[in-house]
This record gives sequence, structure tokens and C-alpha cells, in this order.
Amino acid sequence: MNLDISRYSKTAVTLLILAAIAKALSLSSIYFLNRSGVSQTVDNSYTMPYKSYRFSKPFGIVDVVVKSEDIVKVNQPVYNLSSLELKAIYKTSKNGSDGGFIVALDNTKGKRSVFIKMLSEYNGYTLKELTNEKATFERNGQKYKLEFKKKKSSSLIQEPIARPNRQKYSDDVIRAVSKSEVHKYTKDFKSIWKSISIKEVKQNGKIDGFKVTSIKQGTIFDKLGLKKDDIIISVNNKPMKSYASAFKIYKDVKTMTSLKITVKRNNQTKDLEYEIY
Amino acid sequence: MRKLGLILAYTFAFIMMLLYFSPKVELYYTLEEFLKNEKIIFSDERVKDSGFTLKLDNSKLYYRGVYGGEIEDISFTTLLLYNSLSFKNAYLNSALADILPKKIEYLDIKYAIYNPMHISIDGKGDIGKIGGYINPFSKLLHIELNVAKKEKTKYATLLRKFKPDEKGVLVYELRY
Repeated sequence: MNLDISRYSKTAVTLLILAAIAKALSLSSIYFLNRSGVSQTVDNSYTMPYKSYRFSKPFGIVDVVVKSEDIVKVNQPVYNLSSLELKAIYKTSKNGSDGGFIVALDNTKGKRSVFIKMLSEYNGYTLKELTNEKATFERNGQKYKLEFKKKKSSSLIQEPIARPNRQKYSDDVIRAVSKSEVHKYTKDFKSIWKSISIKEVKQNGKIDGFKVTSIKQGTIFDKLGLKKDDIIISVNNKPMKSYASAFKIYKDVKTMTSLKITVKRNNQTKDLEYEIY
Repeated sequence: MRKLGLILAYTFAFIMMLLYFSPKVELYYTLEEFLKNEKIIFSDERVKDSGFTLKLDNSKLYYRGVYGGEIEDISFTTLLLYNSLSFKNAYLNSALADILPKKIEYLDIKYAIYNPMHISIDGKGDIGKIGGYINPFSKLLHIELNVAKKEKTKYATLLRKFKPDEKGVLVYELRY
């Protein structure tokens, strides 16, 4: 029995010694290891949202330039207005812009006759344009036409509507970009990289902008006026010094109404300005 | 023979003690430094050494300074013959939703010495259930995904990388 106790105590002592060695080894290894962790510094300081203020605007001078040769025809859906039946058009100028009215029958109210004046609203539809054959209404940015002797229909007709072409501008004008076009890219993150590839530019080991290494023709980035080898230095006066700042622009662009991209092109700094409408 | 058994038992006990007393927090900080060079940062986490397990609570993940998401619980367990790395409740940045699932309920990566050619992967997220393995010898990553029907359109971009096998299970394979 005595022998057993001595054997167990011997085992226990050995284990204790081993534990002490293990602990000593682990403690000494701390000397070679890092004793503090790494943290990401997040800039939480509030910055005013970027606004493009133009002093000429209050005086009615708008410096967004759309050249006449930049007008192209694009297809936009125009709906027939089936609730009304056009009976007469009276207009005082070629497109009715100086005034005029129409006489129509309202099918929803038992074919009651209604008079609708130019630029007035009827059931949410605003009369915008008059020609000899038709009246054009607008509702929520959508165009509706009302023609003589047409069958009631709700079919969709493609009709060309004039729209500014934003493809070819000189470098010094403010460009217009539609919100929907911007949203298309914010919804599909990957489509950005199909359209443009950028590479960080480093100076003294720190990011000092992003270089456009390739750009797909016909994409929004091409239309925006960005060119291959441009170095994007800042966006809305915020320097592009990290991937985080680039990503923040991507996140915030949905709420922006104007955008200023400062690029270095041929060793010259250039501002590319856009109105997001 | 008995003496040899005793030596082996003491060696095993010593290794276990080394693992238990190993400075896991400091080892993690050293690993963080290495990850920082790869532009990966786990930030604002609470690090806890629980014997054989190292736990990280509420880590915020950043890649190249971009916020990637938050992981409620990461735990790494090592018993030498059996090792596991588990992630629980990861909420990823919604801006990356078409590349990564928004929520991962759990993701377990396990490695046992008795099956050295097979590092198993098992997980569940809002995209569906994933299973798979890594073969460290043939350097192959194999992932099978049982995607929830309603998530198919939501994660169309991510799912493009997967190809259906004969059973209709979506499979992704990568040789590294």
C-alpha cells in the first residue's frame, strides 16, 4: 500500500514538474510574440455632404451645356390614355405651348364631356403638348398620348422622344447623369469591375489615388469622361487614400446630387463634374 | 515496455500542458500582425483564452480598410489530434450582398489527425446549407451548396460560380 502511495505521488510530482516546465516555456515564448492586437481606425468625423453650389444658378444661368448635335432619339415608352376619348383640340401655337385646350369624353364618368386646359391637371395627368392629331399628357415622368378615333387600348407603344446624349462632351462642361444609371451600378457591384478596372497608386508606401487601367467603351464610366491612365485623386474633394474611401463613395453615391471627380491626366489636375438628376 | 508506455504518457501529458498553457492571445496578436500585411484586420474584438480554445467575440472584419461585416463568435480549438475553427452569426456588409451571403449562422472547419486528407467544412447561412472539404495534399477545395429556393435570384452573381452535379447539388471546386 505504501508503495502505491509513493508511486502515485511520484507521478503527481512528475506531472507537476512537467506542468511547471510547460508554463515556463509558454511564459518565455511571450517575449517573442506580439502583446497587443491590431485595430482598424475608423473615421467617424462628420463631414457635410458634398453640394455643388453655383452662384450663377439663382440668376437663372444654368451652365450645364447640351449641344444641339448631342440630341439623339432614344426609345421611351408612351402609353395610350384609354380613360378619355378625344373630341377636339384647340391650340394657339404650333405645339400649344402658348395655350390651348382639348375637349374629351371621360369614359369612366359615363362619357361626360370635359375641357382640359394646357398645363392643367386632370385625374393626375397634366396636359403638356398639343398637335393637330394628339394631346400628350404627363404623369410621374411618364408620357401618355390621347389621339382622335383610336380604339381604347392600354398597349405599350414605343415612340422616339428627344433625350440629351451624354456621350460626347468637351472636358470643361458639367455633365448630367441619370440617377437610374447610377443605381444600376450600386445594385450590381460586380458590373463595375466589368466596366472599369482600377489599380492603386502608391507613394512612399501609401495609397495616393487610383489609376484607371482599362475602361470599357459605351459604359457609364466611358460616358463620364474618364480615360485610361487617369489617376483618380479625389471624389467630392475627399482624397482617395484608401480602399475604404473608394468604397464609401460607392455606398454614398445613391444619395448624391452632384459629383466631382478630380483626376490627374497628363500630369495636369482636372475636375470632372456631374449633376445626378 | 511499461517504461516506454509511461514515457509516452508523460510526453502526451506534456504536449497537452503546452497546448493548455500556450499564450494563445499573444499568438493571436502575432497572427493579426501577419493578417494586417495581407490587408485583413479583425477589429474591436474581445479575445478570451479558455484553455484549449481561443475565443473572439464581436469581431469587425475589414479588408483593405473596407468594412466586411461583424462576426459574433469565432472560436479556435486545438487538441493537436483534433482542431476546429468555428464562426457563429456573421453579419456581412450588405453592400457585398451579391458576392457574399448577408448572414452566416455558423461555419465549422474541422481537422482530425485520423483523417489527414480531409478538412471538413459545414455551414449554414441565409443562402442555404453548405458542406465540403479541403484536401491539403491535392490542394483542392470542394464546396456543395443546398441553396434555398427563394435565395436563388438574390444571390445570382454568387451562384454563377457553382455548377450543378448529377444530383442537382450546386458544386464549387477550386485548386489552389
